[in-house]
Amino acid sequence: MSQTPELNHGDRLAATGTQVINSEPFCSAFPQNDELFIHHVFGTDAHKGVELLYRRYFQPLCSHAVKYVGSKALAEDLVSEIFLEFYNAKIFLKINSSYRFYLYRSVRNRCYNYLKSDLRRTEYLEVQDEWEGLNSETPESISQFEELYQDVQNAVGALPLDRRRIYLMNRFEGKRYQEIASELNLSVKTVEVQLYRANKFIRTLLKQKWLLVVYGTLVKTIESSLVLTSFTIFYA
Amino acid sequence: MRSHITKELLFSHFSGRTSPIQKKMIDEWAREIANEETYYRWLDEYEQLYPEYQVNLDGAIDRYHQHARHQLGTMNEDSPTEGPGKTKGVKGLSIHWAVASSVLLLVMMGSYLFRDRLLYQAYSTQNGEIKSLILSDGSSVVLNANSTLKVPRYFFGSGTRHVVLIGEANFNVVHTSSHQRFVVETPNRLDIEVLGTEFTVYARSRGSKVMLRRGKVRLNLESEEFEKSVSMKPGDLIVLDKKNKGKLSHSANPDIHTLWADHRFVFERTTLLELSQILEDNYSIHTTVNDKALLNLTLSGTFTAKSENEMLDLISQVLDLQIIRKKDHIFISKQTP
Repeated sequence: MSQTPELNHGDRLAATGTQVINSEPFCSAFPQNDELFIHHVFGTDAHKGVELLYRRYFQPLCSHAVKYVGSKALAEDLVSEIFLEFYNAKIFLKINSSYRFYLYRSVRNRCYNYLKSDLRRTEYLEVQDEWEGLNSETPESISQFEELYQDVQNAVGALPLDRRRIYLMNRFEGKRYQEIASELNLSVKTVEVQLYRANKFIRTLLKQKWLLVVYGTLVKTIESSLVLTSFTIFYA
Repeated sequence: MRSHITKELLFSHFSGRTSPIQKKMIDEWAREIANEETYYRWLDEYEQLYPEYQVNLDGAIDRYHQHARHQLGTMNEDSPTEGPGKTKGVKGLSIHWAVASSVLLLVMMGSYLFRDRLLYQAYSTQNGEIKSLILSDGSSVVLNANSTLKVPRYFFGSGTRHVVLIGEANFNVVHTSSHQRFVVETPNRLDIEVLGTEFTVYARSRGSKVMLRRGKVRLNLESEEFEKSVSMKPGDLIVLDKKNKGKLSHSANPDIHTLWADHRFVFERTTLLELSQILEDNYSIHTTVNDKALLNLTLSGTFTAKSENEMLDLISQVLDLQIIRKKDHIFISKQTP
């Protein structure tokens, strides 16, 4: 019935952003019963197969992704990109896990990497490491993903209420400054400032915990030696 | 221990109600692939039960169909071959843009850096290193020490040419026949927009500086309170602090700001303090003095210094100072007679 793919979990899957932690082979008949039908469709019409995956998983995957990235549009594009790659690179021929496993893992890895690089964006000293590709440093323990998005949610939750409302309108719903200003009867300047403060607050909170310790130390060392130097130069 | 991992526990976990010890238990349990499969099965159930919002499924599927139908096989972003191999041309590019909307929406609406990762290539210099580059449109850039320039992996394309600079560089930008703008973006919320011209950009943590030699340039800058655009004429110099506050002046001697590219330095009553900043910017050398007054000593003249040691020799000889060096730290005191 099913063509058993040659690759084991230990081999690199074609998609970027998917890193295999375990190298145990997982050969059995196709693992998940509820996906048997989709698997069968892939045998004859891959295009239709991916569509079925959309119908089955697009909603929960986006719901999961938006917890990390905060923006509906971004979440949907991120997930769509994974489906597209799944189709283009014919990953359906090569995987040896359930579709669900592959898709959820990909989404989580991409969201994690997206957040990490977004936090690093303003740490200009870290620029060197941004080019490691989507495979860089995924967490070792699975619960770190939950921990990450819960920190994101908590950070948003800690915003003052008015600021949070503006933040969500902009980030989650994707509304522009002018739209928000009109809807809430505020000036565009006010909206700008509120968003600036909200973003700064969230990023600072997240950076404290989620920028790699190594680089955190590096930044701190340089910062403290700068302070020391200034002190020495001005007050020696 | 394993038998304690239930669906209820995982649901609590997804809701943020598990303790660190419970998380550790879950981590260990999920290391087995079969359990990880179960993890995702329950995660999927949870997400279906408690969605964050309702997606527009039909819209997403439509976009998928559109893309799949027009798939030319050339837009797979996994193949990072260098530019000239692929003759996409402007037409290919427009089909790409019209149809692969799900990929490009991500690129456009996603984070700035996410786009960077797919499309940009970085060139960096170390301490004391100076690098010359020629971009795909013929523009040339000389990158000063401790700097990075990010340049599109493929061609610039037919729209505005974008590069990202962290640090300092001289630009000599070619004016294209299609009048494409060239924009230098920096992490200081300052960008510089030109058509074709010669200018220098300095964008480091201590502040920013733009010097225009030839042509015309528009600066766009942002700070907490404002957004501003400033036009510059040849010879204009803009110096900004960390908060992007600063002023526009006219530089009588524009070479001061660009000669570093030839390892030459023009000093006009340049104080030791400013010299120490140059040492830090370009060589990551930190300076300590034993007498604050020394910082006001000045240096004038044009000098060549090909390395930090030459620079240090220069300073100690001309200003009659003793410089003791320990790795990347220098200690300056008056020369004992």
